Amino acid sequence: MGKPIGDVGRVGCPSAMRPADDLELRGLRAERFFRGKEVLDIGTGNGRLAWLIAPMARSVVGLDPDPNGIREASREAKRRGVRNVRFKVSIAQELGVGNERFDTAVFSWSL
Amino acid sequence: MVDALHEAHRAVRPGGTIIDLRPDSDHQPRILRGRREIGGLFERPRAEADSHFSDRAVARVVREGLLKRIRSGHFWYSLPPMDLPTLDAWLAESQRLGGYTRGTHALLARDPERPIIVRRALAYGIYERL
Repeated sequence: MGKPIGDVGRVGCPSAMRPADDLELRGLRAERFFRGKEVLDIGTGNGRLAWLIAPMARSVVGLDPDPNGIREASREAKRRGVRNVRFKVSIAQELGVGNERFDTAVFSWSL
Repeated sequence: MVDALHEAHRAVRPGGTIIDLRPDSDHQPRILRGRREIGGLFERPRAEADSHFSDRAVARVVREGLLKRIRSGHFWYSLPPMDLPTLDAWLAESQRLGGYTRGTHALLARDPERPIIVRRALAYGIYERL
């Protein structure tokens, strides 16, 4: 057994050893804060949490200072054909969302 | 961190929700073999300090009247099984975790191929944007 199963355990990756499935959302018991809502995912990384929120949300904007993570997430959005998710490079102190307003903001391991 | 919370407050509609989800510094990761807990991991002092700094930032923004706590707590999750070299490699690279608690590595090294389960706690706070 060389490596862990799934999308965790990528040594050196900022998202290493995070849950690979919807454990976080289930643990939060916060579905009502996402269902039908416009959601901001601050510290989205490669969009790991955004993909889980997107099916229930009206829209998700994932933000992260790491351009590589955002590139990966944007590619994945295209690959999946998901239309209610977009990603952008930005820092938590300056979200760069202009006058856009959201129903829910999640600091995803980023505060 | 206070700046980030102020910025999130600006971006969320009144009555909306701000959720803070991060590793729980008050509950250090545990190491299990099978169902038996045999040790743990500890956080680097810097990570622990950052976590407490975040706690204080949230408390300050609540005191400022910008957020109201709906609920908070923590929950545990298990990482997929891994072997000792994999866990060693991860810890060597981790900016958050500093190493094994006393005696843990020696116990694991007795049988390095046997799967190890790491259980981590995540802390969360759910706040209404006022």
